[in-house]
Amino acid sequence: MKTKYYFDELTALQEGYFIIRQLGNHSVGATIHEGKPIVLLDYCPHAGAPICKGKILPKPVAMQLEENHPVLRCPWHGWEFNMKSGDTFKFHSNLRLPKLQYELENDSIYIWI
Amino acid sequence: MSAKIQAIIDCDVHNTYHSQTQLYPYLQEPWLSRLKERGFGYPPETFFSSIHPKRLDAKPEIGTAGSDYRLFKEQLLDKFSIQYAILTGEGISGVSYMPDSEYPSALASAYNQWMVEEWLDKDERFLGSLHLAIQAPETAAAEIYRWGKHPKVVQINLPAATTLPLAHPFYRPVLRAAAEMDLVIALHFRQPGLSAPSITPVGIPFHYLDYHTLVSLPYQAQLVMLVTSGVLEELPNLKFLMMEGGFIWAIHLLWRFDKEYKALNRLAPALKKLPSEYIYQHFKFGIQPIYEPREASALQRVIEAGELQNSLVFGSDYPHWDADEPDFIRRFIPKEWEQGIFYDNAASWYKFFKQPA
Repeated sequence: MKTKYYFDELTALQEGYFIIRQLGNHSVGATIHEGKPIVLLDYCPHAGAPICKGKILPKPVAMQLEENHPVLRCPWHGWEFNMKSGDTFKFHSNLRLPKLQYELENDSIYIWI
Repeated sequence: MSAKIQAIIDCDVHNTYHSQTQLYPYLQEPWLSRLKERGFGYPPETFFSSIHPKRLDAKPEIGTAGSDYRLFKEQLLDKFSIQYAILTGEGISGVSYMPDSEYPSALASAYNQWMVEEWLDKDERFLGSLHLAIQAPETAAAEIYRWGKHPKVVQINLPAATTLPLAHPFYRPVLRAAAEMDLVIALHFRQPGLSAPSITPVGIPFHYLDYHTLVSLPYQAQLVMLVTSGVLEELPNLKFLMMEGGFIWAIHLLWRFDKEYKALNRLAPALKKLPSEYIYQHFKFGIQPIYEPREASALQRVIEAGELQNSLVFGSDYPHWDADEPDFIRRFIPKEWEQGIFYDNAASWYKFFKQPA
């Protein structure tokens, strides 16, 4: 049974890092990229790190950095995930970033967990 | 994941100072001035890593990760059922890789006193381990005798790679003191510097990826020569803990070493039993960083093949980047091994847990 929580206002989101809120028993982080919110459960699927405390970096492709394809590096074991697709970067894994669905109501962000 | 584990001994917890000034009260001249003016002077990190060296969420507001007791309590001790945590220090382990001996010995001694006086009393769950400048073996041995009777000092830390094999007579005063004081000798790899040997026989690793993959090499060399030298017969109370160096390689040694010994035992005349028997009797291995095979249960089959269930101990390595929490390690081992790996195997190793005679 999912519960709807108020997260924050859309204007509170910043590019480049997550803001983190405690919603019930869950820690949830959100950031924004190209005008779209990205909302995650703050729990790395690899070993349970608070992944929203990781670094958001441009994805390196060949010898270039792709600023429009950010990756999130876990603050513990350093795994990197594509922030758009949620999949691991550079190696195959079935593990994905735990993305959460959100709803916007008058620029307020709501999340179902 | 089933319920929490009842009790855990964490054999590898990296505490450190938030500033060199914390050691000032424990140093005398001329070493105090040298620290003030020139810093520790132990080798900095040699290899380039592309990521953070320590967990990003473990950084306190002041100082580096591992220097703040409150975070230890919140992120490790209270979060899990950690009954005892063995403090293994951090940067200070570089004293063994400095080219001189008196200043590094003084730094090690200052660290040990600071650790005993300012960490062990902070929390009854903490146990201590000593750092030593092993290029000065007699001084290092004196340091072991100085603290060895302290009930909560249970271990000495040595770097895994050394200039001579630890079994060489040069280091015998250190091994003898540890055996007499009933302290476990923990080997822990350390980034090398000017005076340290390379961890590989083919020269210096290119970067941290190579280095961190290859760190098991010096542990293997130490183990083999500790066995063949006969020092385990000379000092039967020696107990080694191979921290963070892996353990699957121990299976190679268990099988290859016995095979070689059956032909070549005249080269190791002090031995009274097969090399594998010394390995099971005198060595334990840290389970972290946990091996992560594609199929988790493959690790259990490997451990069973080497009969290593009772030789593994848990060390979290908090707050380093590759630290593993207990519940993560539990995904790779069967439930019936948890009591041994998280508590009993370590309890059998340290004097602190011995019943009074």
